[in-house]
Amino acid sequence: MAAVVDPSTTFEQLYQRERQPMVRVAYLITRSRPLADEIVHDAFATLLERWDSVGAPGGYLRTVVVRAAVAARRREWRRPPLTDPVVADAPSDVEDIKVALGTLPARQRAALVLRFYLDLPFEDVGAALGCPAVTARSLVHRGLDTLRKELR
Amino acid sequence: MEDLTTLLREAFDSVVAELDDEPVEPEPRGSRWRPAGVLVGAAASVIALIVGLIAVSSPDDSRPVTTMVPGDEPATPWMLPTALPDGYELAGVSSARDIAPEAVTSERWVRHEDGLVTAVIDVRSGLFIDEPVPDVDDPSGRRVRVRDQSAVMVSDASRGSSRRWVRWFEAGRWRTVQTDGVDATSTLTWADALVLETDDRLGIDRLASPIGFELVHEQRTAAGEADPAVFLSVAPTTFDGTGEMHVAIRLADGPIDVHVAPEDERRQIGGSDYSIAVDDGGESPYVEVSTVRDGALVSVMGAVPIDTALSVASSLEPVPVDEARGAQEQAVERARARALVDEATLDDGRRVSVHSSRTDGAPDTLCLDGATPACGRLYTDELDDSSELERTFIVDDGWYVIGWYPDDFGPFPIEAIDPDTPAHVEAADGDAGWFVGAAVAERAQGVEVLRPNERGKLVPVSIRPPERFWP
Repeated sequence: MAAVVDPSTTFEQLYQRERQPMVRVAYLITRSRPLADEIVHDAFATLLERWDSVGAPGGYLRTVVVRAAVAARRREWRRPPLTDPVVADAPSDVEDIKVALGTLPARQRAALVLRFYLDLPFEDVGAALGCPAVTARSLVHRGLDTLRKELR
Repeated sequence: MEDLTTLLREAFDSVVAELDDEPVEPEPRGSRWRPAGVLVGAAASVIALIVGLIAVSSPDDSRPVTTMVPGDEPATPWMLPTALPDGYELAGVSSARDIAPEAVTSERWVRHEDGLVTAVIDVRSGLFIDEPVPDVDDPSGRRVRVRDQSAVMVSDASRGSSRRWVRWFEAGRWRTVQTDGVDATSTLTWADALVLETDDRLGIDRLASPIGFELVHEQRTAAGEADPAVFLSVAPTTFDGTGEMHVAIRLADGPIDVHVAPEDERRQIGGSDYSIAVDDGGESPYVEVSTVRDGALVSVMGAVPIDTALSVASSLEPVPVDEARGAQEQAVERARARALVDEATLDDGRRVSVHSSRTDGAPDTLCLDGATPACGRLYTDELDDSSELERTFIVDDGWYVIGWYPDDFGPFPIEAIDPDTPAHVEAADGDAGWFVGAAVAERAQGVEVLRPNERGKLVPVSIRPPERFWP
């Protein structure tokens, strides 16, 4: 479901509440903090322009952020694999997954973030990615399959 | 190994924890942003004057020439391919406006060596961010002085290239100099040498002709204005779910992704420089070929071989609007001639139909009749394992969202529509499935219908306009 926003919520309140969560989502997809900040900034700017006409600003914001992050990820120029510095005391499986996540196509990566980080139902994953729920489900399954292959 | 999804959640939490440990505000644009500032900036930008700027090519000089046309609408950059790869057809021609959320002026300088782009300098100014630069203490950023102003320089070496941003506030506008392939000292030198057009609030900050660089475009955009763009679909005539390409053509006055890259990632064809980006993280590499030609930024995208995308990009030529319209009509006729899967008539008398261009006969094309009928084909990322189709059309100056769902899905009553959509929604039964038709306002985000999920539970599903730019 789209993020529930009280109709009396102001733009500033939404900004205070959603900025950091949206930066995290954008960062999980792009793996670039500057890019994530810029994407979320632009998303709020876009939302502000449409504030009076958008019925579900939370969901709209998420959709704009996710699509921009996917687009940005795709635009990256033969970007090196999105790996994270190995943390000594972290479970090796988790580190392997973090490395494997960097090999996923942008939409699969975004679908996994929406499904398993935000715990969204497939309908909302699809809404954010601009595709039907069954497509979102397919993207998630393909992403998991790719991860399994990478982790063998 | 633990359950994969559990580990995945742990991995996401681990990544986010690292993010949260980072110092905030590493990037100038995002970090200086505050809601109150945006409100002021947006209000200011709304009243900004509209001045059109069209970049056109001189027949005697490949360098774009800027022509100021105050008050003129920018022309739609209609282009069509003069040749297509064997087995391909033009499956769609459309135009739409990009969104320009803020008043921005910019110029781009590019340095070529042996025909390849080796360095880029972007200069931008905007009203949107109108606060003083706060103190920051970030590993990737450092405080610098530019034109006797406090500024922040941020370097990003994480992408295999050297990008730098310098941003400061001066004379009522945020000024940004962004470079790629230019060292920090030179970046600051260019920023210091900037010539501000302070008399004109939409004036373009100018570099003083940096030696070795060529001006490739400049832009003036007023808030809320957007240049028209053209979108083409190029697909295999016999479609098996793969191999389609999407073409986006925009006036070359917006941000252009010209990357500094090794030689094997660029090609020269017919005197034009093409950049080639490959997202090869998946089983089918996704290719994006971009160039600036005839005053337009052209991008061809798809999971196709690089040479296939290059052949389409290099064959694009400007055409009159009538020719583009004719090509669209032919594409619609070809689609309507495909194998008919299902059809119905909506209450308002419009005929809707579903066709297949696929070798397996699966539906992939929706058509809507009207004085100017339209068809839309769905592509790999949209189809996947799904057999339902949803598409947005502009027919007879109206926007319609059409959905088709096989009998497995219904028919079910439509119980919800987007409150921003002041239009009716209706359903019609076909032989093989059921249709949803909705007239929507141009700016509506779409409509919602109730549809059963995989467990048979009715859930609201949004049908949204298609993305004009392939994500």
